[in-house]
Formats: sequence, structure tokens, C-alpha cells
Amino acid sequence: MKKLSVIGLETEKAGLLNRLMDLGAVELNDQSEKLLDSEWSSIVTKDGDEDQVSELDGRLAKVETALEAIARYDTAKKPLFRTRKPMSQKAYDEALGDGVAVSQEILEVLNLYDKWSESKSEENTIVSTQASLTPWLGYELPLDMAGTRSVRVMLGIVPAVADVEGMKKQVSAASPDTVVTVIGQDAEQQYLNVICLRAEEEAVLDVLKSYGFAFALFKELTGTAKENITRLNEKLAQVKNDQEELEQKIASFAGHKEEIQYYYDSLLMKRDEAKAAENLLKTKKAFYFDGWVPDGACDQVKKVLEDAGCSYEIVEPEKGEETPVLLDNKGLVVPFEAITSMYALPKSYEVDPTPIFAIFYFIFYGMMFADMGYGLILAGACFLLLKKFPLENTAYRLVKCLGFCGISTFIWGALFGGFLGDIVTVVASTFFGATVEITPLWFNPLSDPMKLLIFSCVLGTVHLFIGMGVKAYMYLKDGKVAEAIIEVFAWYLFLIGLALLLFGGSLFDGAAGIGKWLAIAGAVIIVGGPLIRGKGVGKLLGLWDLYGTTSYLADILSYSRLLALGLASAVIAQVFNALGSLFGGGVVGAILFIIIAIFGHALNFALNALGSYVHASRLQYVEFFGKFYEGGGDQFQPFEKKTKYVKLVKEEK
Amino acid sequence: MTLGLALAIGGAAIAASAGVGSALGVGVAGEAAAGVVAEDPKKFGQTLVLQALPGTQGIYGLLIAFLILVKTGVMGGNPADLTTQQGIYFLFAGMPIGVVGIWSGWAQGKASAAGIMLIAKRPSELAKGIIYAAMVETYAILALLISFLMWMFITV
Repeated sequence: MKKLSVIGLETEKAGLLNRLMDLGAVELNDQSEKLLDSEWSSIVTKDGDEDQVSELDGRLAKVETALEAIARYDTAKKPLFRTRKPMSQKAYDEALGDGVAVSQEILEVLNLYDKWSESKSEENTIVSTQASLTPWLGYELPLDMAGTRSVRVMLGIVPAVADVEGMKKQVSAASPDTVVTVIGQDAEQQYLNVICLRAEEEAVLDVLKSYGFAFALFKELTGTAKENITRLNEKLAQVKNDQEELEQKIASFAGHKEEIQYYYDSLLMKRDEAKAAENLLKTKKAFYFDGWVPDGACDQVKKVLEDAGCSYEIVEPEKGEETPVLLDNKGLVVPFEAITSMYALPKSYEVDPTPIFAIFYFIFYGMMFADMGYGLILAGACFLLLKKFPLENTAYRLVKCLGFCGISTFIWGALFGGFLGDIVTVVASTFFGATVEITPLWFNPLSDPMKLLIFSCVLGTVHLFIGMGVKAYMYLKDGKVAEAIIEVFAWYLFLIGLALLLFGGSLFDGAAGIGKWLAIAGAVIIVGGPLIRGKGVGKLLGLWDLYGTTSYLADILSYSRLLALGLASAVIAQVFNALGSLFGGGVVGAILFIIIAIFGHALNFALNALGSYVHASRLQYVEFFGKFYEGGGDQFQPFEKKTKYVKLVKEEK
Repeated sequence: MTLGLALAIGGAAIAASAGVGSALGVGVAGEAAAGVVAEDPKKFGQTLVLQALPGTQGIYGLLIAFLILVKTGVMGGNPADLTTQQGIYFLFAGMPIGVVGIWSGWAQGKASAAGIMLIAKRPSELAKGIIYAAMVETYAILALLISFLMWMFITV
């Protein structure tokens, strides 16, 4: 990554920004910090047109609403993944046109959508009015009738817990002619109709209110509750009908969806270009910006800058200066960048761990899934997906990475002799009375799990040692030889010695003796190093470090999951095969077997594909990265054409 | 049926109880997931992945239970005449995954639920949420391994 600073003429600015955007190889730095410096701020001001940016943002939001509205009522089948459509710049410009027709379409869609929203809120009002009327269905007088000259008719509610019988007694004591009727009742309220003489209204109300009586209000409703509900039902049908018509009208724009999407992308690019200008500083006639360029793109950038007559400088970053990070791997390793970027990108001075752990990820995933059948399905599905959908970036890498893992799964399945568990054996013996077994190329872990446990731990040790090796490499690169020896090489000696001392006896005679001395030599350096180099209490840190042996032990044992998950996927597959075969041979047995096998293997596949992905990642993140990796670098984000729906393909010249 | 065989079946029962932990865990995670999906239905797929994670303990328990039933011949209808001592071996072999499964499944469910909350705010950090939940699973895997090795080295 190189540091770029540029000064150019205002007249060339628009053209330059445009070409840089096309190239997509420069990250522009934010300049607000420089403006705090009086030396800078006395000469330059911030460039960019904030009004234009916010105006474009507003238009983008509208187009997005229109697209969402269309997508909601478009009945066409939606693809599994949203991918960008590859197009050449020329084809795109032609398809985009002048944008007048499209703007009109967008306005129409927004208009229809507004009407739809209004209609929806009307529907809500109707539904809630209906709900409030339902309890009054049994009341046969018009709701708006308040009484006659001498009689008062009241409608109201009391809480469900109110003692209506008691109330009735009290009311008839106060006014014997008054009639209180309970019209309806639900979990919260009782609905009352009270008829009394106007002369006695106040006395009655006093009693009623003491029971929590409140008038029921019917705004502008005339006629009985039943009539009202019938009327509202008609209105509701009408409103729903309107909505459906509007929805169909919106959906009819589905044919124009692509044009609108092109238009959206064109706005997006305009917005980004306007926004990029905010990273520029300007005087009356000139502009300034700085940023980052990847090593490989320097020549192209230089050419663009020279064409625009700019004065520029491309230099190496200063020592210790953080630069943005662009992972730059080749070939088969690239898909595994998905795993790295999910953890964190390396700092700019760190080693990119991807090419180092890729092979281990491949091996670990396969060991934990280890089945020829599952491997074929996984690899097949992933590569089919890649073929059918033009996936990009992380999605592309992840799917391809899983495709590779499927291949690894197949290989380990062959080594361990698993094909959908033991389906071949079970089918042969249940339906054909034959004995068929797949001979594993290596061995069957079910019959000798200890062998695989040891293999797993050895593989884990190699993995960890490589991680420590990277740490040593980084120390040596910085010229810190002593640290590399004390923190890495001494541990190699110590751990290898310890392993030989404990388990070496079965390998060759005298291994334990050699191991003892290796371990002692390692321990002496680990304890002795800080004793010589450290100060004060720091001198004793070596002893504490030695205690770290337990964490190495824990790390290595953590790799036993390779065995455990491998067994789990194999045995669960066998469980389902065995369950399926319980119904014996014959047609019925075969049908039941197929049903159980499909269900069981689908479940096992899903669980273990996910589990293997998770645990293969964990072994990298926790055990391997823990040895050397820091991470936390910033992604290189070039100023480029960041489109949402169209992928602009560079034309061959 | 001998007492030994009964004890061995007890071992299978204990192992299968790991499903209790999974049920609790998947339940806790499901509650959180439903809350998040109520806000944003598009997150269904992501939350489902996290909800599925605590489900493995139950599977591991099933696995050991199944292995015990096969080795003792209960499955296959040909039960072996186990001595009481052998029966106790199987009983103990079922314990690690059964006991660890219950608590780790539950705890993993809580970690998954927290992961679901994480992706509610930051959908791009799904992988980190998964890793947090998977850290808990390590102990279920270790228990599975021990149960399996115990089962492996019991001679019938």
C-alpha cells in the first residue's frame, strides 16, 4: 500500500474524479483533521457540495421506496440470492437512457403507493370501529338516540369486575322506574344500557358513577349497531378491493423494475461522486487530496494523474503508520479469505494468515464431516450455486470455500470408509441379504478411535507450532532475535521434549532420555531469558510463563473435536440408517427406509455441515490466531462505482 | 433381563437426557430470535442458524444412548447377559454427555440468544455470534468424547 498526495487544477477536477472512480484503485482520506491546523485552514477550504449530496440521498430514498413497493406485489419468483447483473458500461448507458421516462414511472409508483397507504389506514379505522361496535350488537335502538322529551337513554361501560346486580338494586332504590340492561360483556368490560326519567337522571348517574360507569361515545354514527356493522362491512370490502387494484397496478410496474434499478444505480454513483468531493481541499483554482493506492495499481493511477496534469507524490508509508488493508492472495487460497475477514483483517504490518491456515481449514473441515456422500452433496451444491449465480465478494468466497471443504469431506470419507454413514452395508443386508462393506482407504475410526485421537492431537500440534512460527518470523523481521528464541524456539524444544518424555517410549528406545534433556534445555531458556533480560520482579516472569504449559495442553486437547465431531457425523448417519432398516425388507420397508433416510441424512447434513464450519473456524480463531494474530486492520475502500443492482464490467480495449 | 442390563439401559437414558439441555437452549434462543424477527423478518435465516447451535447436545446424547443400546444388544432384539459390574460401567459411560449436555445446552442457548441480539444490531457479525456460542459447545464435545471412549473400552 502506497501513500498518495495530489494537487491539481480545479478545471480538471470533475474529469479526474470520474476517471479515478472508473479505475477504483484509490482510497480517499478524510481531510477534516488538516482543517483544524491553522496553517492548512488559512490556505484551503473543504470542497464538496453537501446540498447536492443530501438532495441525491433524498431521491435515492424515494426510488428505493418505489422498488420495495414493486417487489412486495410482484408475484414473479424471486431468485435465491440477489446478485448484481453484469453489464458493460456501454450497454448500461444505453439501457439507462435519459431517465425521463423512468422518473415518471417512479412518480407513478410512489403515487399509487401513497394511495395504498391511505387506504390501509382507512381499513384500520374501519376494523377498529367495528371492534368497538361488536359488543353492542344486541342493542336494538339507534346508537344516536339520546331519549325522548321526558326519557333519557344512556349507553356506557363499567369494568368487568363491577357488581352490576348490586348496582341495579341501588339504582332502583334511588329511582324505581329506571331500567338497567347488560347488553354484552367481555374480559374487560360490561356494556350497559340505562333508561331513566330525565328528572331522575342526576340521581341515577351518581349511583352509576360510583360503579365506574363511563359513557360510550359513538362519533357521528347513526342507526343501530347492526346497521353500522353491515355498512362498515360493505365499506371494508370496497377498501380492500381498492387496495387490491392498487396492488395490481403497482405490480404491473414489475416489467419496469430493471430500468428503475439502473436509474437507482446511476443516482448512487452520482451521490458517491458528489460525496467523494467532500474529501478534497480546495483553493480558488486548485484542489488537494491524499489517500492510498495498492502497490499493483500505482502505474495506472500515475497515468490518470499525469493525463489530468496533476502534481503528485507516491511514497511508502512511514514506519509504524497504519494503512488500509487489501488481502491479496492467489489461486486456491482466495476463498479462505472469507474465514479471515470474518475474524478481522490483519493490521497493515501483520502477516496475512490466510495462505497459512487455508490447508488446515480444508483438512479440519473434512475430518469433522468425513463422509463421501455428504462431501459430494456439499461440493456439488456449492459449485452449482457458483455456476448459476454470479456471486461476488464474501458470498462468493464463502460458497467456494465450502465447495472445497466438500471435496475435503469426500476425501476423508474415502479414507474412513463412510458413504452416508453405512448406508451401503445396511441396504445390502436389509433388502438383498448380502454383506457389502466399503473398505476404508486408511482405517475406520469407529474401530480404532485412539489412533485418530492421537492423529488429531499431532495435527493440532503442527498447526499450533506453525502459528508460533509465524510469531517468530514477525519477531525476526523486526530484529527481535532474543524474543523469538525465548518465546517460540525454546517452547518448541520444551514441548517436543515433553512429548518425547511422556509418549516417546513407544516410538524408539532412548526417546524418553532425549526428551528429558530437550525439555530441560527449553525450560532453562524460558525461565532464564527473563532472568537475564528482565528488571525487578520481571526477572521471575519466566516461571509464570512455564506455567503456560497448561494452556498449550488445553489447546492441543481442543483438537480432539476433530475426532469427536467426525465420529458424531458418522454415528448419527448410522443411527438413521439403522432406524430405517427396523421395518425390514420388502416394498413397505423400502418406502419407510427411504423416507427415514432422506429426513435423517438431511438433518445430519445440515447439523454437521454447520458444526464443521463453526468448529473448523474456531480452531483457527482461538487456537491458531491466539498464538500470533492480532487483527483489526481497516479494509481498503477504494473510491469506485459502488452499484447495487448492476455490475459494470470493464470493456476489453 | 439381568440387573446389569437394566443398569446399562439406565446409562442410555442418562445419555439421552442431554436433550433436556438442547431443548432449553433452543427454546431460549428461539424466544430471542422471534423477538428479532418481529422487527426484521429478513433475519429469519441468520437467527435460525444461531438457534440451531444448542441443538447438538441432544444429538450427542442420542448418539451415546444409541451406541449403548447397540452394544448391549437391546437394539436388535438380542440383549446380552450383562453382569452388574458391566451394567454400572455403561451407566457411568452415559453420564458425561448426559450431565454436561444438560448444562452446556442451556448455557449455549443463552450465548446463542445473546448472539441473536448481536445480529439484530449488526447483521454482518453473524460469524462472531456463532463463535461465542460454539465456545460453549467445546465442553459438550469433550464430554461426548469421554462418553464415547468409555463405551469403546467396555467389553461385553
